[in-house]
Amino acid sequence: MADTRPLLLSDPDALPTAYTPLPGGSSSPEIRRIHVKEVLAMFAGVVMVSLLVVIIGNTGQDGNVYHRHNRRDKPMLLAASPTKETATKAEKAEKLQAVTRGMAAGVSEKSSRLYSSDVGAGTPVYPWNNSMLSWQRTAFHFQPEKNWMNDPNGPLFYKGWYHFFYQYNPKGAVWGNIVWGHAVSRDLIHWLHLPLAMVADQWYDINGVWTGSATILPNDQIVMLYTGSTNESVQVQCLAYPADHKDPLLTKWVKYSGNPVLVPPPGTGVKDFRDPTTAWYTTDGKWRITIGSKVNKTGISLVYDTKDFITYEQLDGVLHAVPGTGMWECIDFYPVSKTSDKGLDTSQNGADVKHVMKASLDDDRNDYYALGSYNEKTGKWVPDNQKIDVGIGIRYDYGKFYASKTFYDQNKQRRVLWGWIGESDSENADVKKGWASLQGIPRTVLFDQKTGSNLLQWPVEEIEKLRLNKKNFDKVQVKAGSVVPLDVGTATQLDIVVEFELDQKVVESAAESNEEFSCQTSGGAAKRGALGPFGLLVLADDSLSERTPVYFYVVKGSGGTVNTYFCADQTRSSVATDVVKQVSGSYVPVLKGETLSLRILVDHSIIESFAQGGRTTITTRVYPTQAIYGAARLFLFNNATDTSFTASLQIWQMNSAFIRPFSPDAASHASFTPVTVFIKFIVPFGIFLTLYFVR
Amino acid sequence: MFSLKTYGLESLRLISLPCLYAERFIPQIVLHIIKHPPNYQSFVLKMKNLMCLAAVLIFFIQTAILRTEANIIAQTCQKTPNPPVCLSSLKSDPRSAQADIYGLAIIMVDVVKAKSTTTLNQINQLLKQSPRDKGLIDCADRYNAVLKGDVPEAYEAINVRRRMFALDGMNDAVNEANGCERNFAGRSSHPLTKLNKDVADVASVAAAVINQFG
Repeated sequence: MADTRPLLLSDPDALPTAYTPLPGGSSSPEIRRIHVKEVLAMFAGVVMVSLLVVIIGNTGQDGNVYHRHNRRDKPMLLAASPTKETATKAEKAEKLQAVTRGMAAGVSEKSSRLYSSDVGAGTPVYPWNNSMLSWQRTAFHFQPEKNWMNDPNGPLFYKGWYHFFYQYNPKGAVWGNIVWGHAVSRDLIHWLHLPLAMVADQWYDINGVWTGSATILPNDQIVMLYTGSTNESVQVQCLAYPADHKDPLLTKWVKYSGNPVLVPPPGTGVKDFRDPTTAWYTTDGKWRITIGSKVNKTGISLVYDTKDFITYEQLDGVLHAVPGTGMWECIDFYPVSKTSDKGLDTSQNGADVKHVMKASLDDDRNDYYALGSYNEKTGKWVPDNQKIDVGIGIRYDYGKFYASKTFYDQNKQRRVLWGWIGESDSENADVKKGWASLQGIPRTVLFDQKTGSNLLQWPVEEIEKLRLNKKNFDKVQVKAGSVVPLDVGTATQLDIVVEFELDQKVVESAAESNEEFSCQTSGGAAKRGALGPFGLLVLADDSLSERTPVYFYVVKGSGGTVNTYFCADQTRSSVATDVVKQVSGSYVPVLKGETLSLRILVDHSIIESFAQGGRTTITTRVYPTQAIYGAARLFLFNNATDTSFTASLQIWQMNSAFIRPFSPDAASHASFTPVTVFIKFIVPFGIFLTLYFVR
Repeated sequence: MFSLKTYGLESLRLISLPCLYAERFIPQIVLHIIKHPPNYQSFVLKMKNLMCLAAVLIFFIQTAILRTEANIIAQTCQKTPNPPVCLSSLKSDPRSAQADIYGLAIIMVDVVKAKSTTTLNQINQLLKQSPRDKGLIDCADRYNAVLKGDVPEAYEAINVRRRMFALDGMNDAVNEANGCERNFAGRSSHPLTKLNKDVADVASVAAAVINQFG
């Protein structure tokens, strides 16, 4: 712990001076000037020294925090001796490097299965060692220091801070004992952990403090509604609010003494009533919320009006319902502008506005949304296209992405989307590494004005602050059936922006096919077609024994229409056998004249990919055993049979977001502690003086 | 299916009871009727008919009750990948007679816990003889995860009716058991095969029961 008090010249006798009084004479102005100069020079020198001390002291402190952060809850060691394994792995990598540099013949076909059991040569594999498990932790995605997390809760911006709450298990790396975790950030990227916001300490939430949403009232008052699971496992809605509205960190929360404010209405199952939304203000002067439920197999959204968030009246009927979709969890209901690039406050409505209705389907564990119109008088929302209604149409994300929730960021006038990204490995591995689950990078959500039928999601611009060491690759030609390595240095934390141009002549002359393509059943990137697959091999090792292709697959359909699909393939992402190995993805709209564009965020065990500016997104969890640390590589690949492509890429290394517990020093420019004052004002002055006098 | 024998015996007993009572009380009824004159014969007949009618009604009601109870178990087990394992697991637990779907799920998780504990004990025994066997050590880790992670998660989720997380727990238990078995792929025979298969079987049944939550 460094001494933060600057050394001051408090004791004149402590330091020697150059002044020795001349015998019998009074000091001349010249001598006095010299005194002043030297004293100032020494003062400056002392300031410099103390600056060094303070800086070293602070760095030491922060360094300890980071080490603590990494070493905490070290996962159990497996039997395999690490040194021996890493030695053989290094040998292997080196040997293969010589052979595979340059154009390879293309990836071979292999069958893919969920939890594949082909271990090869009859040798069982026990891959999970400490090194592999530690690598899986992300550098710039939100996750608590340890244990289990699921749904995002009550995101909001207040008094200069973004707040994020989340479902958290303080006792283990699996779901259970759920309470509300809490973290704050200035920029949605650099998060600081705060103490738990709410725990299960009342009869009405003793069996779970579940998901909820925040509403900010016009007077800046914050109201939080959440679902509690009572001592009898009945799902009820509860009200909470900050204990001290003057505390910008909103550390402490108070539960309303009259909770619960809502219980399941007649006709609603006591276990089918949860996840209240942010409220929107109606022209009647009331606040309106919706809560998910179901009737048999029909997912529904119940509606309530309130003036004080304490007493509610249920509206007749539902906001919307879709048969066959099952329970609607984590409903989200919000407006988007048809014409503007800005987000809208949840209460907005009008001719220029479309409303998005979103539900998380308990039955298939995916988040679906639909665009439509909200009629406040009738209290009903109607989809633009019933064929792609909620639960049967578009998903936010075609990979691992659930329980998502948006909030209106009044700070930057945008709508921001959070999503829970669970694990795709075994609980054994989660228990070993001591944690499970991430949050996706927050995304802005906008209406796609070009297609008019979907949303666009894009990582918030603040993520670009983490970009380092840009590398440009201009017009890289990749012929059919080849793999091109991209030299980007360490390939585990990357921001990749890429544009592809296919050979138009080949596309035009391609034969029409009746192929009904679907990423899920396609067999992955190993299955070759005339115009695809092509894209990037992420988290690949030199020998390509592990790789995660993120790619486009273009199909010429009947009538000459060109359809583009966007997929991510986990089937060869790891040699480990107990990880999910699926191919995920979907059709992506590509308009005339558009090039195919991709953005990929790589952050250790998570890959988030965005096609066509965010029209279609895929979040993938991967757990390589070889393509980790310095052995991870990035390749362009073209496994199409007929077409070549030209790709232009911009690739950045990504810095860590240093997500850590909150401490006063970490509170950046908002704080004016003595240390920061010292560093920012006195030290530069001292440096200037020293330089001036020392020349 | 419940045995026809017990069914038949049970119902016979119940039918006979009211009629027996009827027989017993008839002399007293006759005396009463003699004291209070006409139509005593028809009255006696009516009473007897009433008694037997009651008996028949009770017969049908308890049949319906028995059938429903047996039917919940039967219907639930039909929708699992292994109905025989499901039935034997549930029926060997007396609580299953009165249980709803959540109670049946709890019983199945109990069975998973018991079999996993047995398997882990066996693994630890084997480890004493071969303490550096990588396969055994990995198996121990996996079953530890089942008992410390999957099973508690399933219990809590079932109790609060959150199907998704209960499924997570039991599906993972299946995967851990299969993962342990994979460690010995290629070895001719080893003592954990049957235990691993048992755990995988009951855990997949548990998952299928949980999947039927309303």
